[in-house]
Amino acid sequence: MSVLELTEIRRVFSRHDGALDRAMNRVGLGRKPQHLVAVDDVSLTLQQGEMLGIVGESGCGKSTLGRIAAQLLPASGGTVRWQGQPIADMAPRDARAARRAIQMVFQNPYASLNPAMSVAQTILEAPLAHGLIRRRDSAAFLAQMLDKVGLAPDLADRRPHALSGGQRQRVGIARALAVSPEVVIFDEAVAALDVSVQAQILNLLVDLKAQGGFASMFISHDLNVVRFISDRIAILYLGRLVEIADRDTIFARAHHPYTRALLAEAPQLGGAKRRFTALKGELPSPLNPPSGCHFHPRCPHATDLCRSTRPALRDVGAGHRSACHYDLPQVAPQTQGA
Amino acid sequence: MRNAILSLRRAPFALFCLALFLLIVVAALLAPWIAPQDPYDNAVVDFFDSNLPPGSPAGMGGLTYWLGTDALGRDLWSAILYGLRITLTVAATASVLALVIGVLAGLVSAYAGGWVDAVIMRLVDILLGFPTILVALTIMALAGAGTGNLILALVVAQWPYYARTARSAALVEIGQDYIEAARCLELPHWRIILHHLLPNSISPIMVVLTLQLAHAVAIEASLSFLGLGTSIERPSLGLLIANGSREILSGHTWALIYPGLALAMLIFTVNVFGDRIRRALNPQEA
Repeated sequence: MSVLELTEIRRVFSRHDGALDRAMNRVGLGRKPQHLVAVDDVSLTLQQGEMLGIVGESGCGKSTLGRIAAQLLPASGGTVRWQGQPIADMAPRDARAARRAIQMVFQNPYASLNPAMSVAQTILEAPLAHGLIRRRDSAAFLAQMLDKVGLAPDLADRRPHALSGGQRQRVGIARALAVSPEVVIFDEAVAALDVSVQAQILNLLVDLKAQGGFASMFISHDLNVVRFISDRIAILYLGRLVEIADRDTIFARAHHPYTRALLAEAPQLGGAKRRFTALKGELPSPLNPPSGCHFHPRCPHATDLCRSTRPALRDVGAGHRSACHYDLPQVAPQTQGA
Repeated sequence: MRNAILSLRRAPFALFCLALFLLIVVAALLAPWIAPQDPYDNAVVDFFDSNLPPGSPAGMGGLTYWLGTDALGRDLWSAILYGLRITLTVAATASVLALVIGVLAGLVSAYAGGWVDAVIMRLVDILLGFPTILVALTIMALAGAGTGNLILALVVAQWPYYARTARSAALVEIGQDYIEAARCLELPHWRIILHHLLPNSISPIMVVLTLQLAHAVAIEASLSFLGLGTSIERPSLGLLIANGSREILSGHTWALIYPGLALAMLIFTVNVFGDRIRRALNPQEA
């Protein structure tokens, strides 16, 4: 069953106009109001215990989507349902409990820890404040959490400035897990780390996932990272969901041309010769997105239909959905699943 | 903050000023024990000794007025020590109260945003629009003289400075992910403000504290000089200066010069020290 369900989520950022702009607009002299549609009618469900990878280029709205899912940012439209019930309609008490059950791990481990608090304070603060543990059990709880994320017990009294990037990210993970969340959103959680440390953290996440207890969204721009860790993968392009399927389907039978282009660009081991022609052009400005299918200016198969009509997300096989008007033939066999 | 304190080692003059300031504070605190005379005790003060020049022996014998006496026959050295006590108590109490109120207002303003921010900051702007001394004067004129009202006036005049500084420091921190994480953990708002925002916004506020402390001393002296501060029986430094200034045409210059020197030294040392911390915390200037 689904724990977290996002339905037709939309988020528009508008330039904040001052009084002068508004007055100038009234007489027709002001700057044109600008709207950025960061997330455009995205619907996703997160099943119990699964890890959903969310992939896209920078600026495609994946972090915005994560922050909306974590209730850190209000959506401009659409509903977020927690165990079937819209969070917005819940009694304040239940809504708080729901929000607490959705935790987030942030990208930059240097900014996501309070520099004035020790590791122990950081991890214990929320469980103590919410009465999830008793003060006299806190030492044992702390030891358990540190062990869970692979941190040595003697780091408990250190402050963030005395920790490495990987250690900080482990503290960030422990902080999120300390309130026993049911959903954890990893927002580019390994992007700021060295590759070797990245691998350690990814292995930790795989272990934690195997222990069960939480479903998660793993937001990343790196297909290889997502491939390693996710059960299902959703691909975003300029705020829209273009394709979603389970991991092996995405890698074996990607349907949307954008997904195929991403796969072709992802570096592979053993791929000796590689033509680097898959994705032409720059990512269009989200302030002024292309008409119809957002991908048409970069798509080798674009037609007039693509230029005029937004393709609906349609079912193209068991749980595999794609937002392309056409069923393009599979050109080259993709590499085998991980 | 720690770096700022360490960098003071390379600023001998600022350190010297800090030492001098601490010496003044200790002297003020120990006034009842080191002052040769209790200037508040009318049984001890001898009216017939009024306006004696420095170095004169007391008429009744027993002590020498090293800094002379004022128009009421009080030993000026003792009166300065006791006056420092009053001045420092008023300035320190007012500064700490203004800090608490101002910092809370600033942090809440930054954290809440929206109309709360707008209301608090417009109030701050209005208060900052008037000269501090004018705000304090108005309060004193409305509330009347007295130590309590003096503190009230200083707090009203000074909290906006703390609020502005706290807000701008907090706005920088609010953009950081750890505040977002704290919100995600559903911690109570007061907890985020006090445990996450406050400790990370405190350094620039401490600089404002040192500078505003000097300012509070100056305002207190100005108000007392204008007769809106402390009472004549228990004069602060400002009132001693005011009284001294009335004697200047009679040639009793010491009654003005010595309290004036004490006040100047106090403000100067705090300012030099505070300015040094401010520069140490600002990497562009250090």
